[in-house]
Amino acid sequence: MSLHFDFQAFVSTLPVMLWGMLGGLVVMCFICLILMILYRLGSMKKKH
Amino acid sequence: MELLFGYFLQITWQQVVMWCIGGVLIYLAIAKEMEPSLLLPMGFGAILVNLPLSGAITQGTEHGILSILYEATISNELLPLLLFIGIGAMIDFGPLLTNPKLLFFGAAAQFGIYFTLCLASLLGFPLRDAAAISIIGAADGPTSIFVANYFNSQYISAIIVAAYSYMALVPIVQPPVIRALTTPAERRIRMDYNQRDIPKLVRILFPIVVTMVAGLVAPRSVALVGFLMFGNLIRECGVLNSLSETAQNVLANLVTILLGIVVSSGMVADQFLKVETLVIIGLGLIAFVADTAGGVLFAKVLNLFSKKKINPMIGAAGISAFPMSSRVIHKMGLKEDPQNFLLMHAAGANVAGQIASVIAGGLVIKLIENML
Repeated sequence: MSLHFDFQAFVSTLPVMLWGMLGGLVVMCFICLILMILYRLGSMKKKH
Repeated sequence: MELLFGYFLQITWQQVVMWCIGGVLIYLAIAKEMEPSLLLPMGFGAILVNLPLSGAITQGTEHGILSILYEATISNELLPLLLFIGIGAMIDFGPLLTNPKLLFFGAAAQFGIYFTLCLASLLGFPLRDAAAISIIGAADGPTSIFVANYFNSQYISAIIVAAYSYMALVPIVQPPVIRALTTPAERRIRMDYNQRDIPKLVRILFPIVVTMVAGLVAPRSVALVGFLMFGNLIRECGVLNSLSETAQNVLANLVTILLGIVVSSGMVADQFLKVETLVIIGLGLIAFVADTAGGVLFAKVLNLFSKKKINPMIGAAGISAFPMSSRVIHKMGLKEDPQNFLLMHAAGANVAGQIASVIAGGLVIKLIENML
């Protein structure tokens, strides 16, 4: 492999950055949401 | 005499350089206590595999034990996954479950992975290798090994050395970046910690839920998050205490001993001493800096919209280097204000980073696979 600047490859990876960051945040959103539901279930169970 | 000392004449300067690198790793492990459980076996292994005609690695038709172990335990991802059971059993997700919003800091602090991917591509690394290099930014050894191995990267040894070295260097790498991006007033922001009673049901279901969600998003890497969460489930279920202790101590130690020395089988001079290795080490540093910056800037953006201000340093703890990063943030907080205790918030963000880095590894595999 010879080191050189490859702007085409750089541009082609930019969407990966976008989707990767977005994907990570969306997954965390899901987990957060499910946790909220679990807490709600947990507190309901306590009341009963 | 030639029978005894003939091999001395076969020593090359490259091998001598590798002995020195091995010596430096051993020095860092013992004198500086930097990730000693991994850097010491790796340092010793670097010397072992760089002796002329070393029988520890496969040479021609002669099989070497380290090469055999590499095939049997690393190239099929066995050891990184087993280590994840131990890590999962060690992690207390309590601080994160107390404040689930900290999950987002974990996601933001993975910015370095994607930034480094773009940078490595710009420097001409093939996409597979660029993806493998970028995962140094996960700040997580097993994930780095898993992804680099998945892409069959020729730079796996350099990637692993860089990943573990920078994890050990978190106390040196993170503070200047945080100071550059925050004002003293921001670093003094106090955050209340309200201890929450976490129902057992939540503690038990959390690892299962994370596995399912991560698995549905990136199925190819579900083993990674699955083994981590399996370890945590053993810990939290409350009926497998003896297994939990075994995973935390015996299993983790056994795997670590093997992992370090087996990984070093790739540190053979002619494969390791390349300009690319230096570039990878440089990219690793950039990845850690970008991770830290990503976390801090995300917290600052949140502060623009939030009434309850967040100390932006907490964002930097979103990297996966657990527990070093949270300790660094806690110490920095105390330095600015001796009454500001950020440890629990930082620990929450830090364990979120552990989950986020594994998910990011899966996403990198999925996204890059589509491009190949």
